[in-house]
Amino acid sequence: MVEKHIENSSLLELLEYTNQLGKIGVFKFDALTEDIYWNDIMREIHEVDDNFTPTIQNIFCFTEAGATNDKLKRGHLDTLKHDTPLKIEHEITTARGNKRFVQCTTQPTFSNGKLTNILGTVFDITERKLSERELLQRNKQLNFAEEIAQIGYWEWDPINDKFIWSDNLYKIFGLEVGIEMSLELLVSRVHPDDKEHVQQVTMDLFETKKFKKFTYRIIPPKGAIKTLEVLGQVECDDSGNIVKLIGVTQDITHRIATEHELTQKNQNLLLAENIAKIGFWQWIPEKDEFIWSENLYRIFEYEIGTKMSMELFSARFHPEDLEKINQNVNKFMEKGVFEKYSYRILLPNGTIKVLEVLGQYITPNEKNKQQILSGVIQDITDRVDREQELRNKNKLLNMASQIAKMGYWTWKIEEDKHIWSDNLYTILELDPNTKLNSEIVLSLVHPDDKKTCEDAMKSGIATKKFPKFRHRRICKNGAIKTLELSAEVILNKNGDIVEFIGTTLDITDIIKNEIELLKANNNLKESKMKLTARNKQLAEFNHITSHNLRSPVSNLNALLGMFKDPTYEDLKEELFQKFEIVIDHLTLTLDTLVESLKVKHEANKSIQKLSFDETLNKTKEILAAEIIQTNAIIKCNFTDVPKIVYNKIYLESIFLNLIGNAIKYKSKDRVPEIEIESKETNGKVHLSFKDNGIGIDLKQHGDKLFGLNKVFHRHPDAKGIGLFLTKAQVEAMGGTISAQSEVNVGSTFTVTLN
Amino acid sequence: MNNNINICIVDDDEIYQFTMAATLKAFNSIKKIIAFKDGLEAMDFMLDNLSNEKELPDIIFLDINMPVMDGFQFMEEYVKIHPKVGKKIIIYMVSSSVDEVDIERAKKISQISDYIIKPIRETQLKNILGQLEEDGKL
Repeated sequence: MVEKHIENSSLLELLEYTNQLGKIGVFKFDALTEDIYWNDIMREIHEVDDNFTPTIQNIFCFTEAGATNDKLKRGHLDTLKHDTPLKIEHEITTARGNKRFVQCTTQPTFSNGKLTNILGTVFDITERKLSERELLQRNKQLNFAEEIAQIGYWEWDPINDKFIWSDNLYKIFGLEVGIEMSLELLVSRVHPDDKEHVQQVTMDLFETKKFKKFTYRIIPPKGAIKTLEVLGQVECDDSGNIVKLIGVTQDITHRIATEHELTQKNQNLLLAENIAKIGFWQWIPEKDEFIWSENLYRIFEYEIGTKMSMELFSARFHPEDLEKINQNVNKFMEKGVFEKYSYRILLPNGTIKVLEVLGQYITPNEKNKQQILSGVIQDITDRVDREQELRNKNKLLNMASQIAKMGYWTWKIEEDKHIWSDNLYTILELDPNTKLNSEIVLSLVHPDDKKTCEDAMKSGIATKKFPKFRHRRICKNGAIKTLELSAEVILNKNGDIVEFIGTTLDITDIIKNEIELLKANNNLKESKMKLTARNKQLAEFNHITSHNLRSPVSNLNALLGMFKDPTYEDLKEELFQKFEIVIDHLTLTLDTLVESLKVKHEANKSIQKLSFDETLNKTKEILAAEIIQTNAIIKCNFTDVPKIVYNKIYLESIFLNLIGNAIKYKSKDRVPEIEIESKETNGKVHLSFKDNGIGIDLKQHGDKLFGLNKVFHRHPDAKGIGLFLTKAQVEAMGGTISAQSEVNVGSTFTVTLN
Repeated sequence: MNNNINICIVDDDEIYQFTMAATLKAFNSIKKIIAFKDGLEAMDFMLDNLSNEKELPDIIFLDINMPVMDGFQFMEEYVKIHPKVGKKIIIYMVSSSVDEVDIERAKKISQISDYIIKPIRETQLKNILGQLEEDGKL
């Protein structure tokens, strides 16, 4: 087409064609006539018809009033003043109202310093201008994208150390946009810890001519440390030297933080899964496909990532639970209902774990009928163990409370409800279903203890303290049980009593045992006393044999030795007399001992009610001669205790010995006076014999007073037998005898009869 | 042998007194034998003859069990008068008692030379007198 036009047209036509093709409008201003010529293109550009005649007045109406017009007018004036061509781009509005960009070039012609005409061209640059705008827009968007992606572009000419940076890269570095960059400035921003790394990467880069992605941190003038990732390409010249590097730098601070957070969260999740011993699973039965979480592998002790199948899965099932699992799987396959259930697995090392499984369909797809199940499995071995332990402990507690005969109870005050442990019902022999309130509880109490219980309950409420107390209860079978209650008070926030919780201890047996123990203890004490007394008697007897039997025997031996010795031939007659004396003495001693032993054994024989008066009269009859001889005065007072149940022979013996002694050891200067009195103090009958005789020095003889063969006076009749036997008789009857005496004043013998 | 030893027997047992005296009379060394029925009689004699060396005994055979004043009571009194006694007197506690309590009590009294259990044999007396002469205590 173009060629055809060229062939067929003249040069002018060609010019015009060129103008047309280039859409170049031509205008001419005649300074003399002020005529303005527009060619067709001019008209076309301004979209005016052929009738339009351009004038100085109307040509400016295409341009926007204000800035553009001023610029245009000033341009023209400058051109006119300085004789310089004007080239200006501006916007016009065509006669049809379309907006266009035009490039206007004017060339004034002067003749003799006077403007003759202005020649100019107008070139429609709308399309170019629009492209430019679009590019600008694009660039803006790119910058925006750069900013959003936190990406910056760069070029580096290492030879001249020249950088070209995109605006956003400056922003990333926190530098003023457009400032001249240098390697020094760049490096100054790198985090001290990463400087070595960056240098190493740069060195590697120049050596290998390959750009490897790397990250490093920078410290912007303001704000926190940033982590950057750099990607680049290397351009080399023919000799292989690096001439240029281009690349992208991305701020990945946020990404790294997010990544870190994500990792952390994932770890937490894994940890949680691990701690809770939970594993997640998915199962496509048709394909026998499993997806297991790591922890599920751990629970089943399969290597993480092992391709799971029903075969592998069921290999771990505890043989005893196989049927149960099958039933559940079948139920679910048939009815589509997945109920939570537990089963055991048996691991290769023999460990048994209890698992609880829960599942559901996640995509019940009707069309391809592919079922996908998803769920969780939890290892509840520990829980089951703990539950079992708890059950065992509870069992033990129950056993313990049964053994200890202990029951627990709660008394809710507001509802007046008593809640009892099973064992408490057992202890009180009540039906465990019996509903209890205070009235019923009190009705079971022994009538004598009802007040104690009511008081304890009232006091508990009043003082907010529950006193430990004992009471008796009558069981249904009539048996009486002694119970000990102790409790604690539970208060609410306001300090009001909510309930009492306490224990009831059946101490019936304990009390019975206590009583028996006390009895046994008393028996033991009594036995001990008896034994001590017997021991004392034995010691006394030992003393008697040591002294009273040994001395006559040794005398016999001595006499016998002399009798055999011819040296003492002339003493034989005298020796015989001595033998007689010793034998008599020995006989008396033995008789006394036998008597005292008899006394100990026959104490309880012939016990009867005796009158002191009668006994005294009998004694007076026996001692009649001595009484007359000494003019002894005997007074008595038996009004307090006139009679006693005692061994008759012993009582008579006591009277005879003590009154006899009182007369025997009378003072030479005084007529014997004897006072006899019976008295009762502390439930015991005392009998006293007071005389005014010679008395005994008790400081010297007190310990021997009642000993066998102990004599204290050079009295011819003193044999040391009377008091010995009296004491034996008194003690055989469970009593005691003691004496008070003053030399030359008198003695008082006091007999405690029982 | 010098026959100037005074022996004192304190015992309420007349048979013992008789046998002791008869046995001791056989010893040539013994000048005189005196006997008392209880501690008080013996003590009265001692007090009457505190500085009478001729009458005071050289050896006392003292019984434990006696009326009025027994052997131990006599010793209590003797300890009190001991510094005034004008003669060195050897005292033997004599008893038929084999009771450990009596033996221990006697041994605690420093003035008592030994405890002799009745009956005392002739050989025993011979040994005692012989030993004392050898030791020069008499």
